[in-house]
Amino acid sequence: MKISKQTQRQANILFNACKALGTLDSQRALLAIDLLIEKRPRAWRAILEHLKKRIRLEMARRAVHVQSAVSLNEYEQEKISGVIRTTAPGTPLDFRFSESPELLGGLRVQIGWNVLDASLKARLESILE
Amino acid sequence: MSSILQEIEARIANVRQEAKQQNVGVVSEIGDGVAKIEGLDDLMMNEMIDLGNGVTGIAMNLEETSVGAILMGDYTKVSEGQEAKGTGRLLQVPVGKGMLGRAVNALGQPIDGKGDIKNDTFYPVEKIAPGIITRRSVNQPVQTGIIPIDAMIPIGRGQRELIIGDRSTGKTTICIDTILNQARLNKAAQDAGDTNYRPLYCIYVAIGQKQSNVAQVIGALEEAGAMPWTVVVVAGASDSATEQYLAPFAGAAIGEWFMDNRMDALIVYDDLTKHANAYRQVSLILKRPSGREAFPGDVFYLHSRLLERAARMNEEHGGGSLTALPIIETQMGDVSAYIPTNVISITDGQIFLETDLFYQGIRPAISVGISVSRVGSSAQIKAMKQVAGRIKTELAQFRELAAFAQFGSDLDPQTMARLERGKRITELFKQGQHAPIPVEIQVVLLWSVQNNIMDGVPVEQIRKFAADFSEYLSTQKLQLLQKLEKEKKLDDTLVAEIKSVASSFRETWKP
Repeated sequence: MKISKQTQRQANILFNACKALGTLDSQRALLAIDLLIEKRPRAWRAILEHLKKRIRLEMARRAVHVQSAVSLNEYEQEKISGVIRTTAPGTPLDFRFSESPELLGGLRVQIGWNVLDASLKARLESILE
Repeated sequence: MSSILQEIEARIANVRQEAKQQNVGVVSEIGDGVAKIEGLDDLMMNEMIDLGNGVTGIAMNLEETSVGAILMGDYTKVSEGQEAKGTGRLLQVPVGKGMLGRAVNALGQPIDGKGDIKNDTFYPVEKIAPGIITRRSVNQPVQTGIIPIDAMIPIGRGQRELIIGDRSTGKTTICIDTILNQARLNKAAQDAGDTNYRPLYCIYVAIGQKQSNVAQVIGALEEAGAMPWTVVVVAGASDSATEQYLAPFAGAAIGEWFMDNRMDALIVYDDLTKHANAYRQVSLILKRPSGREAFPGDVFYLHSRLLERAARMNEEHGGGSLTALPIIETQMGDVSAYIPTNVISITDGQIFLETDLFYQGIRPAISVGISVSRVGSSAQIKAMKQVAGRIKTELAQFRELAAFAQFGSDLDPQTMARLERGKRITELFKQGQHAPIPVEIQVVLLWSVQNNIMDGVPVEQIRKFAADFSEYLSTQKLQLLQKLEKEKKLDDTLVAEIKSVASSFRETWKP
């Protein structure tokens, strides 16, 4: 769907209105979407599409994906989460833990669009470079 | 075996133990050599993006939620949802003397099958041009070996001289002849062990050219032995618009290395019309707003920032120089189109080539009236200034009189003499391709035509006379040429010597 600049601007205004204290408030976002569907302003589908994209990207920014070569127990997961939370105080983070044997050892942590790779695989690759 | 173990241990010891930090994104759209990537929120403008499978992107549009990147390599290997990593590096090309004699692509990778280029110096492709404090005015000549240019439209080291004309009017030939003349001069100085001579290294950038044309150019350079002083950067017609857009900047980076290292270089951009077209293509696919003739708004800045990198540095900053010869192809001689006017206003003069003159047999087909060099005259050697000072006016008067003389046959002897002189000068300015003439011979020839030596020679025999006289000078009167080369100006004794040599040759010469 082609979304005009004007529509993008309107969706951005709506998106900013969904924020509380700088972070996305899911209740406000749902309310905004309900209102949009109910009132159906001009180009409402495009606005909805762009708003959805902004929310998706905001969620991705808050997502934390921890990959480890072996599965981590609850204590280890809690400890890692605690350390990561201290790097971004006040920001709600969504944690996801997964097992990736191809890492060979160590951890690979993706916080939003930044990756901290402390895996054995990454170290071996840096030797190759 | 122990040395291998030591090597392995040393390499492992050098590996940093801390975690590798990277900025990543996800490809959301891909097509036509352009990708849209979500994420990558910490990216620099023009930063290289690693898309895997040997495909590299360059960040061109930094938007609120995504990044628009142009791709190099086989972009069909990139798919939607694929991870893209920021590299933290700007695009750079290898530079240095190791590049001489090689043909490379827009990334500085060899394409001539002569093996790897051993270089450890890299320069960023995009670089801010030297500022006014580090520059000085043009004061040394670039001898093109083409009489009308060296006499009337002289080019100085560090100058930007546009070569403009329709298709097939000899634009590339002028540049190739200039490169060949530099090779001749460089080789002569090298053979003579002249340490005071500053060799002029050449870079030929082919943008959107047919591969057959590029091969022809390289063939001509190789045949004349010019390749040891030349680098050829190729982004051919079959290469992507991204490579065509980047090639002149890569060439400029290679040239800047010579300039920064106290040397002189000459760069030919063949041609900037195709470069503008490639940039238009990239910009339209990136959905940048288009303006006149669908070019993006910053097409002027595209060429101005490229050509500003040509400079003559002052002594405190090494005294190096980078001379630029951009080429522009016009349509039906229209110099008022968008790109030609832009580049005319950026450069320090232009050499305009006309189709009509070309087909009249006047080759190089330089239109004297509208060709100018704004700064080059201060770089012209004094001897050339002495003999060529009046030529442009004489030729202009000849054109005016020739047009007037068409209406009647009764002309006074003075007008007839002017017409005859003009015809001989026009004839003398005709020159074969890939046959540059040394400046000393040019001076003697021009002196001869202006001092009535050639008056008795039939107009149609002038070229033969000039060729024979040149041969006579370079074989029999080497001392005179050497004296001219050394003194660089005509004093009374030298004029007397030229007069006696020219007169005696004229008396003995038979058509």
